[in-house]
Amino acid sequence: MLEELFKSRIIFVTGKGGVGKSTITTAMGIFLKSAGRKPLIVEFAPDKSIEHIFHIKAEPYRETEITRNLFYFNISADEALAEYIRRQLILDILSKFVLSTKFYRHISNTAPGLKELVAVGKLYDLEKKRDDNGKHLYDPIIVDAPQLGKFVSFVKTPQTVMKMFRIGPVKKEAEKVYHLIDSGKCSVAIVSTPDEMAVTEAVEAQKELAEIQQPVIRAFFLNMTVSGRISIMEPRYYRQRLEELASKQTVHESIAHAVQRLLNYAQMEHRAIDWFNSRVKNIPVVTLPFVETPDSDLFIAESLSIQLTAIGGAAL
Amino acid sequence: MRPQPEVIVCVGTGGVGKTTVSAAIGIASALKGRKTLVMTIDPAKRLAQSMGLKTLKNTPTSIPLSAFTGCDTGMTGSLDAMILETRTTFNNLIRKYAQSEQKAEAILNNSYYQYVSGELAGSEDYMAMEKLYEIKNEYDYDLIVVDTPPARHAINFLTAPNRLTQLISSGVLKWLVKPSMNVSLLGLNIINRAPQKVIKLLKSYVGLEIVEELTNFFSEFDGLYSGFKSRARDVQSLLSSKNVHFYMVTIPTHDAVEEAIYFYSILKGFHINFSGFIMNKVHDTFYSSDTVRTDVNRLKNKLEEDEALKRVIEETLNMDRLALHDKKLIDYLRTKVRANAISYTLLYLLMDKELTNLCTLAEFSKALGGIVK
Repeated sequence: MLEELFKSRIIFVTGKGGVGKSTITTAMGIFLKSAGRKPLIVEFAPDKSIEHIFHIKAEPYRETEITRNLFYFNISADEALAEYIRRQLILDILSKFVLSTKFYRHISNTAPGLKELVAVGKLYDLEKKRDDNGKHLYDPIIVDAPQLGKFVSFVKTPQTVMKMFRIGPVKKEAEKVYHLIDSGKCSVAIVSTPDEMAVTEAVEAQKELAEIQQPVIRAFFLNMTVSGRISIMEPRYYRQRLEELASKQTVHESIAHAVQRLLNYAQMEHRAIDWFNSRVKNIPVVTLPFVETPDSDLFIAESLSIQLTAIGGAAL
Repeated sequence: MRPQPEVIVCVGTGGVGKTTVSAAIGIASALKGRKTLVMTIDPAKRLAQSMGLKTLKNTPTSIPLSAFTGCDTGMTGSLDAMILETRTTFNNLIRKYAQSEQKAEAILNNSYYQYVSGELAGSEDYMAMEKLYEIKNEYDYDLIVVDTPPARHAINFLTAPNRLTQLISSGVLKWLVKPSMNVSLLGLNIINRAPQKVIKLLKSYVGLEIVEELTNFFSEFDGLYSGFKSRARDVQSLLSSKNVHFYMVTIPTHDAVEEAIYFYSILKGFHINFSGFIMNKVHDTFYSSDTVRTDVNRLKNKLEEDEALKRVIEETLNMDRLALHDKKLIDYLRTKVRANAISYTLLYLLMDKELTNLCTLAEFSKALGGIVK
């Protein structure tokens, strides 16, 4: 069911804050690597969530091979702009001089959208990289993208810049990035949790993204679901069973109370998932379980990557 | 002079539930009989809907009591809500300080301005503060609760007024407009001698229109500058007033708690009232003691033949473990911030409740009652 998503060259992973965006990004990376591909995970400075998950300290502004065939890049907008200037001003001494001036620092903070553009533009460079045999060096690129509220303006950066700059190299840079995003090679994966507020936002995002046409949403992930792991039965059923079994009244009461609470929670979750499914058409919705090992985010990501293998493995 | 309203500012990174917590504090305050306003930035408008309103406006709207039907809250105060719109607030500020309507229109229609007012990093933070300043002086509330925009570092919020004025007053842009100005601060003396050449270069590089829009913007803005700057100073000083209390909303995850500790260490450098942490989305324990847990485990292990019951009990034990994990993180936060004189509050809010109508939000708010006098 995730064939279309995993065929993309660039996968943008977004969602409301706190839903496990970085964990799902990591899980996808681990899954694709174990499926024999060479994924590159990208996040934007100052975020370092992926580094925290893997307990690594990545090299600044450079690819790091986390484990064999799994790569990571932290894009800093400042570095991307400096790199862009260096490329524009071929004379190294001149670019060093420009980069050291206050003039540059002011321009870099005020030039509309330039920093954002070159940060997104870095994805273009990474996508273009080929190995000696002409094959993609990174396949695919998975981006831990800005959260939902900011995502649309993030992917629209090239268009915004193109509107402002009508000629010159900045416009050309924007066009280049725009064509990549518009090429159909990029996908969006939206992560949500199974609660009413988060799924409402995910459904609204669907409308917003439909307006800009590309990139297309190719999957929804409902993360941290509890209800899938238990059989939702009448609380009475569990109560009866307990009464038959319990030796001590106190234990029976405690369990009955705990089970009741869990069932309430699971039913609430079910309602949110049903509502969500009724509003999403023709896009796969993947339900991922809640993994209760809060001490290791890497363990959670690894467990989820196994889940992805179970549902998406056949496609690769 | 009427008494100054209390202000509670909720800061924190994205995804910690600031908007929900802010609304709950507002409700708690209204329940205690106070005239309350909640200023939110919730873009999903989910909160507006849960408060019985279709949408929220950039001005205070009263929450109808009918929104509370179905639960007896016994509310004696009043509750208003509004959404912060960065661009509208910025536009109003321009209109206020422009010397004429024409000048204001020239700025508002400038494409560089349109970009700056909506997209520029920090403008959202600043405009939230600006609106607070305005509301505080023009309305008569007992308490105003401010839900701040999510930030990678919550500290952005405190430095926003300064950053924005610095940006607008930055020498280089003024110099582009008035090439005769002293530009030694640029550290670029070659250009000092030939500013026209630089402008020419820029024009060929990015296009005539953008340079013209830029220069127009800064020459128009020049007239507003002093008004704008003194306003920013007032807004900045509002942040350190004794009636303004900052609460940091966080959640029991490693990253969020580390961020909260970092924020707390930075805050010492600011003259503000830091009043406490609000720990949100804390899991409740499912069992009351270790003795009970042992008994439950023993019982569960006897259930070989009953898979459904076994699974559900296992799951309750898993959820229970999460509560213990949360408790450890809260204790960790407590030890990290203990050495300081500033008091703090940790509040345990239930996670397993849907907070999408006012009744459950009112129930949720009970845990926050201690914050509101």
